[in-house]
Amino acid sequence: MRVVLSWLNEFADFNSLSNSSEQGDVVSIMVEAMNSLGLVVEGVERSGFNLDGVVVARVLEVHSIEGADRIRRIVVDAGRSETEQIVCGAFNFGVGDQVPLARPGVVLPGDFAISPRKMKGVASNGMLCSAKELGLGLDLDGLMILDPSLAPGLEVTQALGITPEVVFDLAIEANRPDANSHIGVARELACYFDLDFSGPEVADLSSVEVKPLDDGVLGEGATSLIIANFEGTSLLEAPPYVARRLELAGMRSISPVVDVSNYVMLEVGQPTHPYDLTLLPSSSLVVRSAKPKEEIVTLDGVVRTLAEPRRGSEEPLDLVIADSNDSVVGIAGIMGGHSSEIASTTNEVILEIAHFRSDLIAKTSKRLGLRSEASARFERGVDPLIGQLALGRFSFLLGTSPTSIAIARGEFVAPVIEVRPSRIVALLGSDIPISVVAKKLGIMGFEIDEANEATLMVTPPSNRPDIRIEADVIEEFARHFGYSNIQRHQLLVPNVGRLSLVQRKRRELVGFCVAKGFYEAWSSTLLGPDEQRRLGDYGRELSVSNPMVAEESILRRSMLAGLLRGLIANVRRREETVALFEVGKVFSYPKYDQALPDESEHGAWLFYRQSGLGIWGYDLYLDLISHFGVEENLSVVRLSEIEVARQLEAGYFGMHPNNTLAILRDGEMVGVCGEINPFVVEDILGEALPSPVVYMEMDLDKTIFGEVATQVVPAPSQFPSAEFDLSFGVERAVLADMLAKEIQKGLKSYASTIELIDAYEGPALRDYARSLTYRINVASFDHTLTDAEIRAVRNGLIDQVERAGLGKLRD
Amino acid sequence: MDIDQLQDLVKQLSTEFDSRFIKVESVGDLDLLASDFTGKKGKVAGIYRQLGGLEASLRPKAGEIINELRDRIDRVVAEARPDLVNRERSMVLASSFSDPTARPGRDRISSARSHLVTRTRMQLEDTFIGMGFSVEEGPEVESEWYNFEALNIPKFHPARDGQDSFYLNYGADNSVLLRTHTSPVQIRVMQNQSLPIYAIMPGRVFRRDTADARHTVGFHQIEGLVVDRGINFGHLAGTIEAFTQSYFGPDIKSRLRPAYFPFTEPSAEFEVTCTICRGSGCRTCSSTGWIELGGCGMVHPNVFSAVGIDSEVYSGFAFGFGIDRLTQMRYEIPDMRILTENDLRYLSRA
Repeated sequence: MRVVLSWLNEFADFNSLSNSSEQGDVVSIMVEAMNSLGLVVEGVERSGFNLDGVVVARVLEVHSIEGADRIRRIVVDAGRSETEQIVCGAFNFGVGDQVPLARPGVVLPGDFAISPRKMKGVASNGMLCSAKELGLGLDLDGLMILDPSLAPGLEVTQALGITPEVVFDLAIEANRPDANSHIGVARELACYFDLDFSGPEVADLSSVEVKPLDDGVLGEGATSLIIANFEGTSLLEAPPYVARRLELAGMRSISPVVDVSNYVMLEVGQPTHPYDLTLLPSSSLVVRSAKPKEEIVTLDGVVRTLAEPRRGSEEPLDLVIADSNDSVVGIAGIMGGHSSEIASTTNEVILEIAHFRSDLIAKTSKRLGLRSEASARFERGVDPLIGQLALGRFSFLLGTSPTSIAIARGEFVAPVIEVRPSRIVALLGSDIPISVVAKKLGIMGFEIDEANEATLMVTPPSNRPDIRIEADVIEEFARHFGYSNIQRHQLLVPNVGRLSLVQRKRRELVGFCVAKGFYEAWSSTLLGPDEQRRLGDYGRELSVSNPMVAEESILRRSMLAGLLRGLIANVRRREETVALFEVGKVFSYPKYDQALPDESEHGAWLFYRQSGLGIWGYDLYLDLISHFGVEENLSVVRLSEIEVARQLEAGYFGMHPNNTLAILRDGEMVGVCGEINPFVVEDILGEALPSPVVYMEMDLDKTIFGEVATQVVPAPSQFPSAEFDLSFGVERAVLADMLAKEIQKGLKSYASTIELIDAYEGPALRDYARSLTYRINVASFDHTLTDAEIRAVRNGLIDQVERAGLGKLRD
Repeated sequence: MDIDQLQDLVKQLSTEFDSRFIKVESVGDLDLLASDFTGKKGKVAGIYRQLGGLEASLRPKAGEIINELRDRIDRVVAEARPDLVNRERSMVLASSFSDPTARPGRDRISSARSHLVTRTRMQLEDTFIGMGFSVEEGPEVESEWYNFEALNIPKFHPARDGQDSFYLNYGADNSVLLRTHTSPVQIRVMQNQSLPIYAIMPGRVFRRDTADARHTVGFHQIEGLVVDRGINFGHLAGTIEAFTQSYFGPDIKSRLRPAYFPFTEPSAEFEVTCTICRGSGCRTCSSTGWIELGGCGMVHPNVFSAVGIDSEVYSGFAFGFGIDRLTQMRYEIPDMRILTENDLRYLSRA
């Protein structure tokens, strides 16, 4: 809401504040007050200031400048005995036009000092100005064109009758419908400063015949409707300040009737709508619900299709204004129709002043995606009793009276709210006497019945339809009492503050990853559908019904696509090493019907190094699970051994099927660890990478955030250990880790370590694909093993591995 | 040989030792000197061998004299050794010279960094934990009821306009969405936990807005909720002030000014002293000396009734602000979108 200071001054004398306070000028005192009242000042604009020295100049000659096609040399008569020369970049004028000239030495709004310059070797003695440059309007398309009858050399302020104006740009909260008007803001400030407030001057319409209308014209969605006929409107003029103030408030001047309609809205908060009576069948209008597929062309020239009430519901969806032929002539409270739009030649006008249910206007405005100054006000709530004031004001400003007035008024019952002063004290935590509360509320326009000491029965003013319950009244009081005057108290918290176990583990995880050399990434939760499909995931996706762009239209099911974005971007920047990790939520369709989709917290790690050296996925996996003590809970198998259905359910795609491990917990797939499918990367990047990309992802709650099995750590053996190597010939599918686990089983009753010391693949092996050699170190807990015992252990292990079918001892 | 001769001989040896000792410059010299005198074939042992001609009754006395010499030499050698060793080691160290800052970086994997937003979140969490709050979390995909309805934002409420939402093709139309704020966690905490509640709720939220230098589609908020008997607006203001001073430092103050949120009443916007200019006025704070940080207020009675808490018995306050915005302020990030680009050139220096 743009609020004009001179306009506010019509209702209370804010200029008097400069005498009563030493804290600065009126403007800064008012800004301070509005901020503290919650009418946040987002900007203060000054118009018509700093224009001394800007004069009317008549264009005498226009010359092009050699080598420059954006600027021209202009010669003007600006009232001096000699002509003046200016270089100008605007093209919207010609010889004979009159334009504003700012001479050197003038400082334009925005601290823009004008000085003599030279452009392309041509001297420029000042600047020809646009309205925007003078702070007089929004027009930047070219120079401001002045009345040709003005005398060159006349000060522009004098020529245009401009007085300096201050405009406050206020952010009005949704609960402050009253502050969307100048009288609302003025009343609030008058109350704050304890100044006298007087409403706007209105025409005396007591002699005009008032015809009551049947309540039926209000339909389901209006609470009052005033229709006033005006004749001879083409000859009416609005006072000159109307157009100027509209412009300052951000609206364009159109014609006297439209301008005054808008002026009244900005002033008292009541939207009104003028129709050209000659374009209507009669002067009667009704409010009703839209009919099936009903259409209207609104003032902006767009065809709008309206919606009827839902079947089985009396609740209207879209409210319209219809004429006596039952044709739609406007969308109620939002925008009028094109067919009855008034022009400056319109001589007979009917003015509609209505009050609509705010929820209905909000719904229609949202459904049609059509917002207007009127709808914004109706949505938040217009004062239901202000219609007649608006009519009186409209008539006064146009200097005429309606020939007839028709009124339908539904019942308006002002709420009576019970307010306990004890509650105010309890909620604000300050000891405020009841008399202070009652007095303040009274000044603010509340009616108070003080019959009972313990409770006030309070009726809010009609311009505050947002105030409905006790807490609303308390807030109003607090606002005017001043938030900064409320005493602060120290909060004594009876609880002990701490992180939960999972939160502690999450922090530990971040620390672990960072120490390992992984940078924490933040990748998008929303992905494009092809990103997911490129990974090979054709599972049911959880999609956004109203995405802004396709790339952000589905929820991630795994973190791979997001981290791949990071990999690709970094590789394209010639980064040789990319190590990223992320902790975040992933989403999927649940197996069974439930209120919300499945959501789980995943951790993901991506490592790439051009040279191929560095971090190995399985090492990272082992380090991680042993760091969190969950080795016992988890196992791995080669991904290619996982059935499609299980993989689909788990949702990890885009991995190399053989060089990746599926992480399992109790048979459920809870993660992957291995290499990204190189062709996935190639497809995105457009070329193959020289080395594999290591990737690991896991469901954190089911893996490292899971419960830690209580482990008994045996004391080291006090007896000497024996060491021997075993080489097994194995098939390709056998994992070295699987074989090691089998060996481990045979060593349960000993203190032992197993280490893979060689993995060989090559032509020397005839019977097997691979040879795996383990170094086994074994000791007894209670004696020194004899040679015979060691032999027995060794033979036992060989036997066990061979019986499990994992490999055969090599000679 | 008699005792006198022996004493002369010992004295002579002693003098000889001293004159050679002065010239010792290294551990090697010292070892050589020691072995020349006290070694098995050394000069002291040589005197022993000459004692054969001495009267038996004099031998103990003679042994004593010679031992005295041996002890002195041993002592001198032992005392001299550490200095010589140190001197030699110093020379070795001084001559071995490398540049510790010249690291071949290519094969190295150095430790990395956590995300700026994570760091800010942890600092905030720690501040509130220190004040006695617990940390609570909730789902990022929420039902319309938790995200709006329960927070006193009915359908078509103007406040929904400011929080344009991403709805999901899940369940009934427009019934499930990506949460637009962390406030639904308040509802869940009030439903699921026993009173009193002193909790903060950090997390990722989403708004259907075009990303720009100050906004990303997904971002992070932190929210606080206190529900107990006798909680009032003065506690809210006091808590905001305590947090401000603890997080930003003692010379940063807070102030509240009226605002509107459907889920609180009275509602306030809270501002803190501009951390850039410390209140004197600069570009960041538009010369006001204050920076708007977040919203807060007393929990609205309708919110309490949505979760079945008797607002006549309990009262409470809530507050919330953007973690990313705080991160942007703290690290002076010119464009927020860089935080989601995962550009290692930035991550590794941030």
